Amino acid sequence: MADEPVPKEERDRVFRKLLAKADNRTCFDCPQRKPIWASSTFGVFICLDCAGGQRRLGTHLTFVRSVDMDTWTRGQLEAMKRGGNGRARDFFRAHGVRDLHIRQDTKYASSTARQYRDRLAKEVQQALQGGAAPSPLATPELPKKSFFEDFEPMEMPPRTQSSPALATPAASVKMPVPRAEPDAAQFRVRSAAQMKQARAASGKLSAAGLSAAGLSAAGLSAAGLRAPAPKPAPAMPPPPPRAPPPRAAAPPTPPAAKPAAAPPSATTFSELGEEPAPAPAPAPVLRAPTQRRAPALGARRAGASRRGIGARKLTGAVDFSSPSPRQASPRLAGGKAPAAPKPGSPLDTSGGLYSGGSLWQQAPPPKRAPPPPPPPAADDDDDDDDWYSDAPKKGGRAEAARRAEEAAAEGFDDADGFFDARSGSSRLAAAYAEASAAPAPAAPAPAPPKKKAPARAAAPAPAPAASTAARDRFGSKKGFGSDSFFDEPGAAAAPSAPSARDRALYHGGIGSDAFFGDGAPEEEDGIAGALSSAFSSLSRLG
Amino acid sequence: MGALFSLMGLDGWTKLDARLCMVGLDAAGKTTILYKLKLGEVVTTIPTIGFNVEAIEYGNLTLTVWDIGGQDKIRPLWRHYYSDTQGVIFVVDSNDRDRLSQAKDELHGLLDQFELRDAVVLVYANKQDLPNAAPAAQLAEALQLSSLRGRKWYIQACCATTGDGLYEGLDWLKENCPSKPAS
Repeated sequence: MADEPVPKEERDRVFRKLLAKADNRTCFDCPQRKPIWASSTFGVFICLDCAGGQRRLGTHLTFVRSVDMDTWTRGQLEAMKRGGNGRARDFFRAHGVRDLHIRQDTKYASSTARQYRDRLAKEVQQALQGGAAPSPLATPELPKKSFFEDFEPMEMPPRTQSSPALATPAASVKMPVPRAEPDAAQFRVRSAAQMKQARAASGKLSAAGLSAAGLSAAGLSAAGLRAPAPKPAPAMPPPPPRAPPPRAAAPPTPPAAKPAAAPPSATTFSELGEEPAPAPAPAPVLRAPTQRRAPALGARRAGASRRGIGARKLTGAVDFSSPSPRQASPRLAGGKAPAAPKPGSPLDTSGGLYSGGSLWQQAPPPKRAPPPPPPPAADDDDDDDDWYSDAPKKGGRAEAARRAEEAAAEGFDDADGFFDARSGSSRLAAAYAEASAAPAPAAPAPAPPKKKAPARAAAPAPAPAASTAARDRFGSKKGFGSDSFFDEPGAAAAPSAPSARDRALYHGGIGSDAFFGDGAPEEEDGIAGALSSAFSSLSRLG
Repeated sequence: MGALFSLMGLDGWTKLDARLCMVGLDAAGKTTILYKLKLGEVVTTIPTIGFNVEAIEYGNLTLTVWDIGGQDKIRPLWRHYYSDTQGVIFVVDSNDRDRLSQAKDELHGLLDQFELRDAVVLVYANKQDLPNAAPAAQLAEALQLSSLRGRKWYIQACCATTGDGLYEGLDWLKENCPSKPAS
């Protein structure tokens, strides 16, 4: 229903109405008048120039449509109805973004933007499913109120633009949580996000995925989980000496207050059909109250990102040293995982090709599963500078190894299961879960059985066998064509040694010749071929 | 023709022309690719309403590339650019997995056009720098390139903002695009 395209007449009628509102007569990103482009992700109207800027950010952040030149789906149109420049502006302002004409990449990758986007997506989904929620067109005030209700009780100090993310950590600290995880995650994320405001798109995205933990934590606290807030929480991201925070006081393995981080992993686990492995009971317990507030979205993303990191680190390391990540990573994880969390160890820096570099190193460890019974004191240090070295400390070597192994395995699973996830849940949820999970390079993993699902979903193809062939044979290649595709599999598959997979990013293509088998299979990549032909002609001349 | 010149050892000497259409869904990166190839820099683009055309010199080959806007409403205009086109550059946003099937429909739709019966197809799997990007092999499946027997195609992963992969694609075009001697 949400994907059903809206007839042109209806689209025009809706937009005529929407664009007549005073708020929508100015571009959301600049002072330009009469915007006729829009971001259906944020439900805002923008001008042509800003549309260009937003398109650059990628569809995972904002999906730009033309009011009159594009087809709109029902879900997108609903987002425009419920959103609007006025509401978005109010939200951003309420979260400390005073100047809305800031750089677009900063603006739309911020945690505020993410919150807004998630809310909007959720509302749209609800509206389309139940139809219960009143349309803002009919009663403009209603949704707005309920919208801000959740945020007002948070009693946040007025935030400056530079630290819009403060809200989430503060909120989470208020929880009677014994665990360090949500806090660690948020502080990490925040500092990372601030550091990396810049352009690294992958960086942005991963920060986005990570602070999903923040989102769900915020939701939780809004849901009434807040405890008497023992401590106002140090405001700044680099919180080294925050050793004995309130959490120390709480019981070491309290099943009760495990909200933010545990549910994510639990959720994702169950989705994957795996057991919540090392997690001692606490995880599921608080989920009942959690679930309602902390959107499944946030939960999933948090869990996914956490796993993704671990998987990526291991994968990265593996790809350079061994031929088959799928087989090798568990082995490697088992052997080396205890060492992995050490800051500056080679495993850290070798993160996937798409990983955000330093950002990933800062991100919380893959799955520092529930604080094992041992002293919660250790838990506190880990929020600080050296939280990496903390995993072995806490879990013990064996456990860390086991966890790392699982993380690796899951990372792959999730990457492969991308399309399944997508079809099951909302577009946003799936996109972010995937985005923050293991990155694309892991996807073309060579194991044939896993391939089936994505292939089927992607292409409800008439010829499933043929459709899976490409990835089985060219999983690693960055380009290929008909020649190599239709060639006999053996010859073409040869170059796709898994070890080269992630490194050979842009080399080599897959051509029709190699694919279909007329002429010599294209073993060489483009440049090499061009060079050799140039040489041959030169030699003939000379 | 290319083979003949190659036999005569004239590969690098004869100027060749080819006319190409660059199409794809909106926001796939067509204009960015065009100007990255033309100018070597990343320009600030706005949605293309209409087209851009540039002559790109690559070795002895001069590619006249028509970059045509991809908004839903103006896609039907693509066909007006097809005549006398030796190749199609189809640009896909690898990061936008939701619209891969739409991209597939457009690709197969345009290849059904009579005027493009002899055209070679270069698929640029753009935006590989984004974390959610689908790899080339996965895109080949999603776009059902396997059903394009009897046509020369090539899929190349690339990133227009860094330029990675763009020239690998042109290399293939140079080898496979039916070009004619410059007039």
